[in-house]
Amino acid sequence: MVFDSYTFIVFILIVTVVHRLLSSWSAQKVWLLGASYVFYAAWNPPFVLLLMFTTVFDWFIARGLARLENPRHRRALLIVSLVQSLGLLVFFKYSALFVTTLTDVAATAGITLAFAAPDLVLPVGISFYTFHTLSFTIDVYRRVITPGRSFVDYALYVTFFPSLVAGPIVRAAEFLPQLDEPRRASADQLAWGITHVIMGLFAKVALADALLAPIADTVFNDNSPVDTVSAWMGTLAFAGQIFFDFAGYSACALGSAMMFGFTLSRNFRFPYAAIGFSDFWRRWHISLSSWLRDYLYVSLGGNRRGRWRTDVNLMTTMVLGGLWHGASWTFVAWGALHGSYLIIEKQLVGLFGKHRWPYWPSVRLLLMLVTFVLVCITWVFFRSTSFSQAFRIITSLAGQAPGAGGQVVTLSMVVVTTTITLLTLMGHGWLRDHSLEEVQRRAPAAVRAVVVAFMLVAIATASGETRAFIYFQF
Amino acid sequence: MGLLLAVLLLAGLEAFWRHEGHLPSIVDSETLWAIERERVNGDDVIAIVGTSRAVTGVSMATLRARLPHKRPIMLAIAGHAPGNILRNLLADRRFHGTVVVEMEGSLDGAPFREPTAYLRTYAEGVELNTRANTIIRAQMQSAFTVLRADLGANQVLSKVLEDHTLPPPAHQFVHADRSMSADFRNVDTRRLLSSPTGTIISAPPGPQAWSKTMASLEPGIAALRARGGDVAFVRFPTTVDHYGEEAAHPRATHWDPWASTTAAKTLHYRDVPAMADLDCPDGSHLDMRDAPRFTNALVDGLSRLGVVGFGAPLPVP
Repeated sequence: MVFDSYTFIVFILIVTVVHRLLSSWSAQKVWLLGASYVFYAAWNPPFVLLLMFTTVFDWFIARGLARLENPRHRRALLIVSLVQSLGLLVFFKYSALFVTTLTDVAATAGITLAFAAPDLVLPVGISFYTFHTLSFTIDVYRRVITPGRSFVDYALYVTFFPSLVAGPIVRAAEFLPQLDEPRRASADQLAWGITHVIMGLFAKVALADALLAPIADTVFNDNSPVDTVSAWMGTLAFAGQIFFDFAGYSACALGSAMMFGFTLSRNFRFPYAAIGFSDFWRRWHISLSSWLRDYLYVSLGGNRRGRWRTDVNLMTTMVLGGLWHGASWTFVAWGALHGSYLIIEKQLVGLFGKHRWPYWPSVRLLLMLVTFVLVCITWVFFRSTSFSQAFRIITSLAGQAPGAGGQVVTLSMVVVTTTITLLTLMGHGWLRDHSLEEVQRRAPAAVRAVVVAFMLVAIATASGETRAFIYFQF
Repeated sequence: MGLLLAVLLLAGLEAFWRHEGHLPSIVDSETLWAIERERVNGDDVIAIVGTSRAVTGVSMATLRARLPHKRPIMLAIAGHAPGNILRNLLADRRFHGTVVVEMEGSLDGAPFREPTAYLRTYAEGVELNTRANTIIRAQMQSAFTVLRADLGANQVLSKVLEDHTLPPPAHQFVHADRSMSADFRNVDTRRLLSSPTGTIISAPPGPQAWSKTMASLEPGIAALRARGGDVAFVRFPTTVDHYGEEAAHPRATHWDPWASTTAAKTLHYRDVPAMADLDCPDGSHLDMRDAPRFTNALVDGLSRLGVVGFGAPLPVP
């Protein structure tokens, strides 16, 4: 089930009403757990069993980790959890890439391999819920948390429907304490939660799907060389599309959780106002970047083993982060580009960080724009289906478009893309050190009503074609 | 308050678009087709298979009124060849109903696309959540003009920026049962007659190859008839041979010889006075005002032929 569907409206109405009618906190948690499984089963019922298996498996692993004292035994148990979770992820997500790559490499050596890539259905949300269970077992191993006595609480943490299929990736240390005491959304929380859902749907349906996706598709679905203007419009449109699609989903997730009195961490903090790439990754998909930092980068040694090793750890983390997004080498290239940016940035900060001029407002604005442009270049690899397509687009962005015909984007596409890009940059720049909560608290009620009404009308009148959330496929 | 304001704005927008002449229209999809395809199991079904001529020419309301104990289901797909859909029905042992096949020339290939994606979606099955969402969306879109795909912000903005005008009312609107009404009253039919969309047939099969293809359907037709169903091929009215179908499949060398040998029933519009004098304003499709008359003549004609599932013809006044 997806947030931008009529069935979700019916689903959340029923879940909310019944939840508020139940008087026992235990009954409410069981109800939410059942509803979460129904939410997941709406996509493909048999895969609920895989979700249940992962949940139960890591529950028993965590209890073992909490009981055991011998470091070798604890490490062995953790490795079992890692192998199980990552093994399932690798099997479903990467087997086809592995076989295809092996076949291609063998072919270049003149060897023909007879086996075909497996055609597996990728369980929706597997990248997210395995990270939930992994963070649980790793935190228990590190003695950051204890597993607790309630399986229902733990299972609800893993499967809570707002964040189950496309994040944010929730930490057990943040969510489990919220289950200890009864929670009920106040009228304000309910209203703000619903507003978040409306904002999320507006971003996804009205902006990403209706306005920006057709422009990005026009450029990226065309395998022939494109002109420079079209390349820029397509790239900027995709930069907007992926932000509004994913931030929209996260807003729906946060809003849905709020409707039940739960708080999930923000996943986006005006990322296109980032100054530099460390800042970007503190603002974009925050739950993933912090997860990778805490469980991968730190486990590899972080920045504690010298400059060269720090760079290796950084690049490894970003490359694996890219691979997490999808079974394609273009995602790896996207991650590697970001890794390179971060390494170069560290050098530049080392050289110029102590000077005053990098902090002048005009220079900060310039750095913000440079960061945005360089991020857009990485999006070309993220969106392209092949390296040849990515390099064709990059070449066109640089003004070299050999073989390109006439402009493929229309006047309205140029107007829409530039307007949304400019408004987004201005909005992010204005709000970069603030929050939407602050804005809505200060806005008069009439203004809030008009904005909500505008968003609802835009959602209702968006074109009839629906598109899956981009991060659904991860 | 925001919700109330949104409702008022949407009501205003709905009134505005209707005043401009727009009417509700659903977005047809492979999923919706697959849902309809799943409904054809049973012996009370009349499945309509064909192209946009069937989608616009058959008045489903008239069909339901004339055949109250039958369930007409629109499986025709605009722009797509009907051959593989017919084969899919013939091979389905759960299908015991009657297929009415709209056919102008060939059942496969140019000028139409193959319905591969539709058949694949049907074969894969539609899960409950997608089914519910598609049905609700179709019902909502069939009731409200604001939900038309061509009246979205992108489409309106595009039209305003490029042509300095609001989108004109479309002359075609799709109903929740997948049938379509075509209103040619305010359409420049001369433009449509002079610039048709689609692929002109360039390499038509000769009579022998065509006959061989049609003959390959006979076992399936016999099997369906043995299960209690029936097949009727109908040549719908056209007034201009836009895509060269008639030129590529002359009646004398194709339809007539085959019609005398097939186990299926055949009905050619030129043989039915009530159909023969109907006009297709764009050369290829009936206007919505002629669809009920055509459908009545279709029911009468198929009834006279003894097609299973079609009632007795109306008395001649």
